[in-house]
Amino acid sequence: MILILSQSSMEPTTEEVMDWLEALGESCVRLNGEDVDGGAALRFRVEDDTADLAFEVGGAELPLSSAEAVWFRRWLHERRAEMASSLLAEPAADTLRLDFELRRHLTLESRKLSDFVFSRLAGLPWLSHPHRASLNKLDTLTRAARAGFLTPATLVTTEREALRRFCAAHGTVITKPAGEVDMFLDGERSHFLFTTALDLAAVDALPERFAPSLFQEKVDKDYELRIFYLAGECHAMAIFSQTDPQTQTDFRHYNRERPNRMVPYRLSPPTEERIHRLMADLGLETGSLDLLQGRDGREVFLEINPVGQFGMVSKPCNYGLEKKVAQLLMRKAADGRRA
Amino acid sequence: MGDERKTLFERLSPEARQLAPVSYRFLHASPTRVATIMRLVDSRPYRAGGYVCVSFRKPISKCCRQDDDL
Amino acid sequence: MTTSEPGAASANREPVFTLFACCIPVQGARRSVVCDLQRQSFQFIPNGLYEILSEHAGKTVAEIKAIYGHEYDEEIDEYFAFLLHHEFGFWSSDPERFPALDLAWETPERITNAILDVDEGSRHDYGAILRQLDDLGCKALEVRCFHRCSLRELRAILEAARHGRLRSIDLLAGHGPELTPDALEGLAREHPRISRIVVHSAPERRQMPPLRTGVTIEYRTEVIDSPRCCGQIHPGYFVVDFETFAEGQKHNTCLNRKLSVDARGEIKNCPSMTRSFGNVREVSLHSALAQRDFAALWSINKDQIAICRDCEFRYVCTDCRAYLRDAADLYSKPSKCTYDPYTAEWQPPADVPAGIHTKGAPE
Repeated sequence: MILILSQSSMEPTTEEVMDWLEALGESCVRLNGEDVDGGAALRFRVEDDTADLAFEVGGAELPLSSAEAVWFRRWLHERRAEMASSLLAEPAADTLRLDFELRRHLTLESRKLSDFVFSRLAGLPWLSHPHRASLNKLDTLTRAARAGFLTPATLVTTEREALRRFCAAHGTVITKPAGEVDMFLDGERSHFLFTTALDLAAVDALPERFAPSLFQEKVDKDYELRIFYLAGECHAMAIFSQTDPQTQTDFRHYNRERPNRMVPYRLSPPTEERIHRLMADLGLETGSLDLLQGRDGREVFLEINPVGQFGMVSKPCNYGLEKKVAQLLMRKAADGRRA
Repeated sequence: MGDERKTLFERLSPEARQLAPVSYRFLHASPTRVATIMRLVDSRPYRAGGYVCVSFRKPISKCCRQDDDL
Repeated sequence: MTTSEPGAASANREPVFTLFACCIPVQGARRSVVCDLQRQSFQFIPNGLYEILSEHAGKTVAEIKAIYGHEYDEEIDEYFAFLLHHEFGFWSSDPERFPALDLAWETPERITNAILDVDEGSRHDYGAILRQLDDLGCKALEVRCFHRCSLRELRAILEAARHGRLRSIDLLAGHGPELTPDALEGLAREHPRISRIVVHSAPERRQMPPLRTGVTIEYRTEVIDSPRCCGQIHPGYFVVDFETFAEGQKHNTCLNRKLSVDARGEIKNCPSMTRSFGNVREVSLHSALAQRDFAALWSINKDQIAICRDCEFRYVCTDCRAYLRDAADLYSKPSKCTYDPYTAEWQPPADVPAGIHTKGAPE
């Protein structure tokens, strides 16, 4: 039996993997972050030398003890802290700090509980693991260079002058978060932190000093590459967005009228080798890599997402990754049984 | 709400602006798309809470006469 | 050919036109199409361009012009301008990096779609039927009510689907005073699985604006009182997407993995077929499906059907094996198709614009 750790909404890929598991004769159970966070009836008991953890969802107890392999797909463990309004019944201007500290504590509590659930499953084979779910971008760039990749010139600075010099040396510059691309909900709207290009005017408009920010040279591209790596195999897709000025900087600026072209791509053997080396160095069995094919002929490494969506590579290229992931999970469960 | 016209960065206090990295100056606001396409659907209990439904694109039957002007 | 770093050795190679893998040319007797599986539309192209794209793929423009003795240089330039304008391809010095799409089609469900017919005399056990469809993995259901329907009846059907795995329900129902736009909108909101509601035999034609969730509600005056109305072949029923195109390479895009229960409870490939595999009151859907003949028609694809095999629409058309031009010949074209691929005309002529963007495709 395969245990899938996920979140409850917007997961068509997870559903499809589960459909394949069942069609191939393997049973599976899904536990969502929201369940651990109060969405499901939870019971944990320690008595004498036995410890027993159980979740009840929709009237049925999830058979966690029968799990033979775990797939860490995604996790949402901040449900309680995500409330839009104040946690206090009577919020006031001077209770903002209190609210913040309450939320922070609740978030930490959730995380502790999630960590505990993960630790109960530590003896099983995992595909992706929460402790390796979020990489450090700057660290990854360093390792990528070590693995033989070309990387974009990168600068983290607080000084406008340093940025000016960087622009002079590298031409157009982009800025993006050093951590995760994020989204801020704001009533009916959301604000997205996309990669943005900075022109000289924008740089001049900055104060002399600012919070530490990440900048990179903007590599003029022919196309981008999104590669899903699964247990030694690379599945690559090329994304053409150059024709659409809206998406030139970040292909997530999705254009509904003229969607970007996404087509299968054949990596060169040296590139595949570099990917193997890098994934081994990071201790990752799976993940999505973003590369860029520059106009100048350079193939440049951008970033890795260890727990990313592979549906967006699988479907346009018909790689059947949902089935492959199901088959890999079954192999892991079988290995676990033999051990 | 006058806030509608300001970017998120403009709505930050001076102190917050100092804490925010440069990329916050370029936040793009768009209407939340979640409700438009996604329909949450219950699935079997052991699978827990809902999933995205993408409607079946192929016509299942072809009973209705199609208009000639498309 | 040695593979090296992309871009390195190829910098000196003259670029060749490379189709995007999702843009696939299909040849017809009189003309061809380029199917854009990603943007879900197609464009007509002359067979001459089809020849260039297939036989002369990977050659430079200069080479192609030379092959045609420089008699068509202007047309050839126009062809490539056309293809670029529609973003069907690009110039590449590394065409070997861009393989064709694998068109293999696979899905875990044993049954992907089902039709359930209901009329005044039907006595279906909806719970039992839907549970069994669930077990077979069925993703999409169309319920066709040929009679005047009450809301209560529609609700009963939808309730039975509440805890199952269906992802999409299309409702076709005969008009009744209860089926007001508000009532139907309410139904769609209560039951998020509903994709589409069509009310037939209505006093007047009306198309409601789609709901925020994408659900469409429509009133039509035509009377749909039996399965005999089915089997329409028309560009409005064409589907230009990867799943259907791939499925159509080896399977019948209407009947493949389809199971139906007619108004009398007979289990069939489709309600318009005569062959029954048992009645759902006595026979489980599973055992009906297990009968050797059940899937016999699933593999009859358009390439095997006379006339259709020469039609440029063959991989986007969803076929019909129930109503045939020649009832005695299983491989004859659908009787309700009025298109002649040998003259490229619809009879009576239907207005088919140069490129069709098929409706109803969600993101």
